[in-house]
Amino acid sequence: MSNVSIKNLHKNYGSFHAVKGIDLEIAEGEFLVLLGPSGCGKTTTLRCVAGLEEVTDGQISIGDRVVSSKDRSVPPEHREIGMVFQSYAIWPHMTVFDNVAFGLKLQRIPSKQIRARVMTALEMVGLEHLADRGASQLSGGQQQRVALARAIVLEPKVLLFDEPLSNLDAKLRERMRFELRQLLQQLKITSIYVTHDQQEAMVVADRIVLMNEGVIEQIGNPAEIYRAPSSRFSAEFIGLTNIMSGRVSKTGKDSALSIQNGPELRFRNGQLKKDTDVDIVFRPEVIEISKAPLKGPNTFKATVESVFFLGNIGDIYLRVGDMQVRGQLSPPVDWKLGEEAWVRIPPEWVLAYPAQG
Amino acid sequence: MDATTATETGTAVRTPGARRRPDRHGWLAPDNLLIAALSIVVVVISILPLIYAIDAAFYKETMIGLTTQRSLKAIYEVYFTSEYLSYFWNALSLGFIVTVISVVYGVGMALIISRTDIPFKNTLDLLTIMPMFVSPFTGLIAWISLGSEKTGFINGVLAEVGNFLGFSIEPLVNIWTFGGIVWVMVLFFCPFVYLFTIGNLRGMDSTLEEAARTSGAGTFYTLTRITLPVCLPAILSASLLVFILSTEVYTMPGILGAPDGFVTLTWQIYKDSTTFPVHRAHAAASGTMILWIAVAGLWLQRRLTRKAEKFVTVTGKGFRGKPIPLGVMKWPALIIVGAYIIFADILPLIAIVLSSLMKYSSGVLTADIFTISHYVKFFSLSEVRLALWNTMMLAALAGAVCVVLGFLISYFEVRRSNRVTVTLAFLGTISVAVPGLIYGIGMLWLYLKTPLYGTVWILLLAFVAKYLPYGILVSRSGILQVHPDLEQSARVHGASPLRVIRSILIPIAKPTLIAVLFFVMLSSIKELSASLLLYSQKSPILSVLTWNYMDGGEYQFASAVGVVQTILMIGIVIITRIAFRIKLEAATLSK
Repeated sequence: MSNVSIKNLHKNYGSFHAVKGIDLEIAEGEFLVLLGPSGCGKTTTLRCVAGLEEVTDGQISIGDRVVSSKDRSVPPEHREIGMVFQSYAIWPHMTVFDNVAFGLKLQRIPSKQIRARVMTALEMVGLEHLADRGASQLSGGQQQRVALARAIVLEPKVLLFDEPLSNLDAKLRERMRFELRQLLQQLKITSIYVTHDQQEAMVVADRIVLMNEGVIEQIGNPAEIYRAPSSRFSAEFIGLTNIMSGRVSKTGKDSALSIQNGPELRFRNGQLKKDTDVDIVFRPEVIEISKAPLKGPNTFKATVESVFFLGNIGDIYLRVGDMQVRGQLSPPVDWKLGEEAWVRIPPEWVLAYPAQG
Repeated sequence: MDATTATETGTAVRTPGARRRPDRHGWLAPDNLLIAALSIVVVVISILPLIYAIDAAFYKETMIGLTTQRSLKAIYEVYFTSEYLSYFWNALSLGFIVTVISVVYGVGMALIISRTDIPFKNTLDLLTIMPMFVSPFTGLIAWISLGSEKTGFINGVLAEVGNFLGFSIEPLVNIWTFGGIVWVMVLFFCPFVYLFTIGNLRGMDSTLEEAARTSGAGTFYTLTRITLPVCLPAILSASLLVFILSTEVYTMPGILGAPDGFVTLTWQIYKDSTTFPVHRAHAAASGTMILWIAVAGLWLQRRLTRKAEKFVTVTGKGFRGKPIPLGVMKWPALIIVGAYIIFADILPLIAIVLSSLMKYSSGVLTADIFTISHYVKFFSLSEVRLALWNTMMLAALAGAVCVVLGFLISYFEVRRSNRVTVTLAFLGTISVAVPGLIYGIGMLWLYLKTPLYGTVWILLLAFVAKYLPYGILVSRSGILQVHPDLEQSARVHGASPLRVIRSILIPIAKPTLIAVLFFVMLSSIKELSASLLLYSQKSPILSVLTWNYMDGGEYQFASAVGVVQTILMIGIVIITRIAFRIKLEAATLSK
């Protein structure tokens, strides 16, 4: 059994509350990503699971065993975990082989078996030819792979990743995402992965836990969170979005929002009451833009304010009264500045959340 | 776009169409003149004395000095006779023993204070480095009053306790032995090891240790297999420094070793230079032998630090992992650090103050033994007043000169890097590895027939030569912290090169420069090894006076001078800490 269960986790540093009550169940073999801006408590949560921090309140179990609670903490070396750090933490005074073999030697495994397991792990990350290289002679990408091999060679119950790709350059980072994802699908080890990069999260995750200011904002698979963000924060943090303030003007079948000095927008209503102040959210790629007149609800005449050619898509900013709307065209169409355009914002993609503060 | 274009690139690149002022071009450009002037100063102050110190070994000597006739007799007798070789061997074995003990204890204390949850961490840290801010010679005087067999406080107190309990306790400690020399030296060299190691431990990426923990290693295993090996280059550097220091220090082994007839090479150099009949050529020849140790040490250190640079790893997020909980082990840990603080700070402090208030040496304290006459005498003797004035003046001047020279030399080295400026900086830092004693020998020979001889200014030259390396090395690290963009953007916004130095570089590097100033002041106040050869009756300074009064048997008066000297030094440390928020020990580290 290697599921992880976090119940009502709290962590304070003096008067600062880094984590404010988190409940999370991670299934066996699941790849879970903790995503959020810096300071949201994701790394602190991970370090509590690793046993590198003691919890202020709450409980963490790995399998059937409680590893952290308010007054008891199993030390990291007895948790049967593997961890990959942001800085890789490759021991500079050892070779690649010794780095990977470190944990196995501690378990007093015969050296023949150690050799075999280390080489298998190095093969998995494609570094078997560098086994005898000194750790300080490695590039960033190679160090990253050694760190990964060192974590998986112990066949841990849980793998923990603390922003493992953030020190790599953009190209390599993108490649490593796929490699990591493939490797873990093959190994089926329960994994918790911390990142602040939403694209990275969407590539590697089975499930994303979006965190903000020490609490969980939303949990779901990447598509769910993208299509149905549960809050303005979720919508803003994942993907691009148009955001504006407004008020609910009609409810029921023809639910509509009024935007100050702007048009009225039909939208997909949940249980918002009339006259509620709301944040209105819709993604640029759902907007239909045309030179010929469009029909239906939420159709407006607009002026093109600026256009950016980005290769695969075109980014276009349009003005409807006092409202500015960002759209995306794929493939890009040539629009001229000041040109008139017809815009349709499908009501099923217009979301509204009660305004905060 | 005229003079600076020429110098910034090192060669006279002429920008087409640039305004030309012939008088400010090429070799006569102001900064080139300045570099030339600095080169002359460095050669005269740091290099010539060194050459003269070696040169002095190759003359025929008389009972009062050197003749003009060349001779290899001194070199032969120092390098090939058993007498001098045994002094050399004594220096090496003493250095080895002191280094091993200092390293084990210093590293142990650094581990305890940086990695565990020991209480009163900051206080313990400060008290552990305190001995660096006190003259080792003052510490020696203190330990003589504490640890002498018949008249020491420790044996005295033990005997009293014995009497009270009805036992007769024989004298337990005796500082006038080989063990006593090692004891006092270890107490004063531990802080160097401690500082080097703890700097490294604090700067270390904590995920290196956390990765070991998550791989299944316990606390102890992580310390011995990860933490210490990663710090090894720093520990080796510290060991070399302590080894070099302990082979060149001659006051402690010289004084304490006398009853046992234990003589180290540096002590013999001192005797050959100062005791009639003098053997100046032998002293110089022995000096070259000590130089070999320094050169070998420096070479080893360079190799090690080059290797150490490979140890640099990407730093993590600055999460400082939780300290190791000591539990019941808290008490042994407190005893390890506390014992050091008691023996290196508290007991010597009490002893020297007590001793300065006593009429004569005694392990037993009675009411009628106390007197303040030494302090009255201190301020009434014109010689002592002059020494106090000279000490403060020399310290301030040496500090100021080292700051200015050090800043200029390292500025040219970093910002106008070319063969000349890099060599200049190298020449200026050579003296860091040369014992003060050797500078003393060289300067004696170099300035013998000049009016400088026997004045206080020859001491100033010696201090500048000895401490210029700190000026250069520390301001270099200060200048390197200022990104060139900051200066270049000031140029773009219309500032002249001089204006950039004044308005951008100096304000940002100010804390570093202040650290240099006070560090050199502190070091000058306690300097003894070159001063002892170079001072004269006309130019007394405090550190030499303590020595002379000790030598003359006036232990209590020497203690009083030592107390005043210590107050002066602690005052400087407190001023820099409180008024400028600068930790002087950090300046030592960049060595």
